[in-house]
Amino acid sequence: MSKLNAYQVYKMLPGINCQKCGEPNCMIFAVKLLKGEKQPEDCPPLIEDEKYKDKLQQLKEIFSPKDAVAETGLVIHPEKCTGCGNCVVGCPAIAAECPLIGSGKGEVRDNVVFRVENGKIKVVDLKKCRRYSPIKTCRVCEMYCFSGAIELRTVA
Amino acid sequence: MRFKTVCTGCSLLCDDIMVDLEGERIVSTFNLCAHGEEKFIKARGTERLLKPFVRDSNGVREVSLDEAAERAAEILLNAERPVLWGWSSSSIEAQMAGIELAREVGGIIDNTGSICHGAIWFAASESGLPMATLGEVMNRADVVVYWGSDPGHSHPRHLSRYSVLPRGIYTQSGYEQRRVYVFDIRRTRVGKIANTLIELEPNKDYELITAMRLLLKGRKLRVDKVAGVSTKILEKVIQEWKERDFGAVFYGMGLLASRGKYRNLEALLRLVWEMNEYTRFVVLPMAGHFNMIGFNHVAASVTSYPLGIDFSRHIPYSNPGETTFAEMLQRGEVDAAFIIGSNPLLNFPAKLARKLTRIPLVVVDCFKTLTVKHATVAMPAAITGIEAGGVAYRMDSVPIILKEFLNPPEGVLSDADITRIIVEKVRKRKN
Repeated sequence: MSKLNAYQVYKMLPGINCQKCGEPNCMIFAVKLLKGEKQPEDCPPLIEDEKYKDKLQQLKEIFSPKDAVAETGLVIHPEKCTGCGNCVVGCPAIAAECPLIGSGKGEVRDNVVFRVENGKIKVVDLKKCRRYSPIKTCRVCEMYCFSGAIELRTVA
Repeated sequence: MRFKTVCTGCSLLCDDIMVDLEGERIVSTFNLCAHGEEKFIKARGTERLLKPFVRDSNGVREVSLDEAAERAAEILLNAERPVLWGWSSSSIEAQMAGIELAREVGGIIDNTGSICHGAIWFAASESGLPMATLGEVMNRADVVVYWGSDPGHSHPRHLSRYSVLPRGIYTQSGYEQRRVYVFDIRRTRVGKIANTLIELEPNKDYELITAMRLLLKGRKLRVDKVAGVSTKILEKVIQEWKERDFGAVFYGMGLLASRGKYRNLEALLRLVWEMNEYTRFVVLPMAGHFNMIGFNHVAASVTSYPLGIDFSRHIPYSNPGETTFAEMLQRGEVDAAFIIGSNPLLNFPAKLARKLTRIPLVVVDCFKTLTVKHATVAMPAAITGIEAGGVAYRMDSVPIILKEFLNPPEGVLSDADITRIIVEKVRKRKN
């Protein structure tokens, strides 16, 4: 899915610019679909019109919500982890949610991607991860991991 | 019950550790690295030393703390050149009592810094010490240099708490704003995430630093490579450093243990000093034990020498190499040793360790280490930072207050109290 671009998604949409979804045209809807801000069901003609049935099925397969691990490709090897917390402090999603953690001061929160617990990294809420969207460009945690405990697998 | 505490796993003294406590049991910990976790788990492990013991001709027998202290005082007073060694894992209260004990018995007091990071004080006395606190590094530094040190192994939270990743007041973009330079002989863990990794040949640190100082002064080098590093790369590095706002150099044992010893550090301090003509540059040690720097500060304030202090002439006297533990042991000068919070039988080279087994040892430790197993008198101590409070100095010489949150095992005192008891016994015997 990461290889898809907006034009390819646009081709799967009706392309009639009806504006029923609230967007000015189908191209913008395609971009929002890629970002994860919209779902295929948000396009009324796709559901209402029988002739778009195949296209809807195709889009649903691509944009169906998967479980978070499959979605982000994040694999943690706890036996390698040294609990350094580089991933926690470096994570842009955590820093946006809680600036105190982003500035290096440990705080225990339940609404962050991961935290260091008992000397190991532990995933708390993977849905907060920036990779939990169709654009999977963020790799900070893997880049700054000393020991190779965090691995980001390519998602098909 | 959840509360905040300080970890004493290394000299970073992280003060943001959260611990969930259920009675006397640690349920879970947050923000601890592998070093700290190990220490917290060990606190309730089976390897604790719980009862004082004395070894004599009849073998080992358990005794009361009072009797053990009496025997320790006897050993220290009967010896001609007793050495008081360790002190890097004790609070500064214990270190103060230790200096008092050395004064009373006319012995030598030395800390583990003399075979480790103590060299900073010799180098600083010749080159000066441009230093900053770690907080300043976090808020300002946009160049971070690791020279011969690998925080990935020694101080896991160094990068995430102070140097590279946190977003400070003037470094709002965090890691994006900083450049990391690693000088090492191999691709270390921190080398993996460095922007520039310079792999120099072993034992050629002095050569490389001197070349960099020449480049900084605008001289041209006639060679293509210095210590296995291309001159062009060095020129580029110096140019980049000059253009930045604030640089912090963290050096480790890789620099101090290679050929040249503290002279390498002296050259590095001069390089940092000269960098200050262009921009702000500071240098900080990556000290190991949590209160190694503390002993040097305490000893310097009380006796005016940082380490290896000899009280046998009734006035403090220090000459590194003459009054430091390892060299004295090598010459066979030591005839009794008081070891606190250190495991020299395991850490010292075999030759020195063998010599150590032939003299009476008074050992104060929390765990059943190899040195405790060979001790003549052993006394159990509470773990500083978990079962006993006190003050410790962080690697950047900032004092941090440690608080106890667990009760020590029954009859076990803190190392400060034990040292004070021995001082009392020595005084009583002398009168």
